[in-house]
Amino acid sequence: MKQHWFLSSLALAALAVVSVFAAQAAPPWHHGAAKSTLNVSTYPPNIQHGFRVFAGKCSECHALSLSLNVSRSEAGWTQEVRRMQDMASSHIDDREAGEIAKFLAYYDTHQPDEQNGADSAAGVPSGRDLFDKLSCSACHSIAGAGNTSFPLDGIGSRRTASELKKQILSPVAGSAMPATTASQTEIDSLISYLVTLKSR
Amino acid sequence: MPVDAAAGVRQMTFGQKKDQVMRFRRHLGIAFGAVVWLLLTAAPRNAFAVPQYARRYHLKCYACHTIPPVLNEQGYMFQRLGHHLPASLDPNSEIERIIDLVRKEPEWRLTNNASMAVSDFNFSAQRSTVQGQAPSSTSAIQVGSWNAYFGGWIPNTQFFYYSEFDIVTNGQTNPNMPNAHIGYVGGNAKSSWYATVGREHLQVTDGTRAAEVYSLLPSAPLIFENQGPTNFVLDQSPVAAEAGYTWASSRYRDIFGVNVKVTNGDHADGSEILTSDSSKNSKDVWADADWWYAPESGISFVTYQGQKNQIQNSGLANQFTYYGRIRREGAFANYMIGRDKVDVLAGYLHGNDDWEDPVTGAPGSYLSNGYFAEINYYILRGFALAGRYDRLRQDVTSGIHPTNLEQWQTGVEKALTPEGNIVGRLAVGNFHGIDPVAFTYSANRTYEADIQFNF
Repeated sequence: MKQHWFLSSLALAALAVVSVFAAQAAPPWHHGAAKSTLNVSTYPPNIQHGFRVFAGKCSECHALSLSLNVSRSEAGWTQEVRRMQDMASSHIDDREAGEIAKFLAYYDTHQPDEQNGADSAAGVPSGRDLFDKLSCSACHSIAGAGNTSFPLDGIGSRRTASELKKQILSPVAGSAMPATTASQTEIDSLISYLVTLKSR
Repeated sequence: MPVDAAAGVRQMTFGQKKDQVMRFRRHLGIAFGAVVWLLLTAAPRNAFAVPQYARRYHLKCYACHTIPPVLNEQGYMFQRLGHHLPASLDPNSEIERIIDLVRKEPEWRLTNNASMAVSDFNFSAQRSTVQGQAPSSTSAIQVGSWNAYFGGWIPNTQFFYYSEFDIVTNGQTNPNMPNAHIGYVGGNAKSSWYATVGREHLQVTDGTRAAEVYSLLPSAPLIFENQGPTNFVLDQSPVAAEAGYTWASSRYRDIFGVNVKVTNGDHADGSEILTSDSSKNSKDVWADADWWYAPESGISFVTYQGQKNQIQNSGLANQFTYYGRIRREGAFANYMIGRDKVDVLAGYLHGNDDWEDPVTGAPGSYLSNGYFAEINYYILRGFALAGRYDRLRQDVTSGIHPTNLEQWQTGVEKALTPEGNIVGRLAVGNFHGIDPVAFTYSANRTYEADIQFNF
């Protein structure tokens, strides 16, 4: 009897822990979940085809939103898809890689306003736009765009959001980094974008 | 209802206590059911609630498995790189060092280092026939297995760890820890080495797909799991020290891996090392070499050379102990046809063990030659048909003649979520053969339906 109660309690406790795990694990996967279904009917036929390749190939390993939430130039996407192509167990050939990169670059510049950055609805430009608007590109580059002296490619792998925030709000004394005049919302949007720039 | 006036506390009769216990049990049952319902309905649909590695990188199970738990090439590399995601191997780019892979890891969290419920619920029905006995039929619905995993990396270092706590195994509550080891990985993404110490489920080789114990079917090939008359099983979890080297070509077109393990102890499963009565006077050596060639095909060679104390006729008047040599050599291969559609697998294992006659104690040998052939047809991502035929020929010096064990299995497996973390399977299998020493015939037909959860 005691053993029965012990096992029941153990099972209940374990399942409760699992529930907590499931709940904790959920947020990172949810970002932009709605973007998993896209209406591409207005896109050119070749881009629609690229979407189908993207949806078929990339969704084998990760959620589509993982790519759709990131902003890159066409060169940046070509580089990124090439990186995926060079992973073990990737079955993306050169033709497919080109089609995927074309679609993602097209999507990046043609996505509807409501999908163009997390805070567009609130009137705040997307993180990528803020990179230009706040003149970050005067000293930094992303995927080759901007001043390549201090590239930010992969910054999301090297710095956490809080470290980036600290650097933007309180630049290291003696560095060329100027104090920012951006609003808190803009800084948050910019950081949200920068942390998505993972290393190759 | 009698009342204890002094204490002001209600006292219950035995019947009332029983009712209260029953109510509590009912509530517990409802709570249990509610949690299970939440897990089965809410979590799988809305979240990628899969084990820690998938959670760590926001990836689906398929990034490293064809269908869990069968590893693909990337899963193999992931293990060999100290449980870090393999880097892209672009011929025109600088090769990342292991420490670079470590630096790219996300923040260390309990959720990306632990998986609490990797479990399998199954229904099985089987009919068994043993020579000289009446046939019997059994069926059961049970928790087939329930395992918890803790594995990851020590932040900012090249150390990694991996442990597996099995709560339920084969339907029996039998707490066990077949994996509990720590390792270090060095080199770079293209050319790396690793070393581990601790208890490790060897899974035969660390090798290519045909050499894995895990398959799409419920049972592993006979050559991995059959316990011959020398009581040695290749699939085991000893305490071991292991070292390996891996080299991958650009774009992972070819991967070469070798490793050597030394296990120490009288018993092949290393169990005595965990107890105080170990004499630690044997050395068992395992070595394997793997070659993966894209896409997803590979060859593995494995050898095991060891010794173990064999107690024969335990507890009887003529009990004796001998210190026999155990030897295994095998080759395993798979070939993937049609871009991840059809996987053809085969394996061969030769055994040559010292053997003493259980009655006379006369020295001799136990020889075994086993092979299997298997076909997996991946209809869609996460949906496959599988079939396998096994045959194991065994011969002991004092035996009347060589005998055979044969087994076939076929099944269909389907992932029930897009992420691949819940997998359902239906399988039927048949086993029959003659024991090489007792010369008794037995047969077993099994029908199985199971569902595997990975959280």
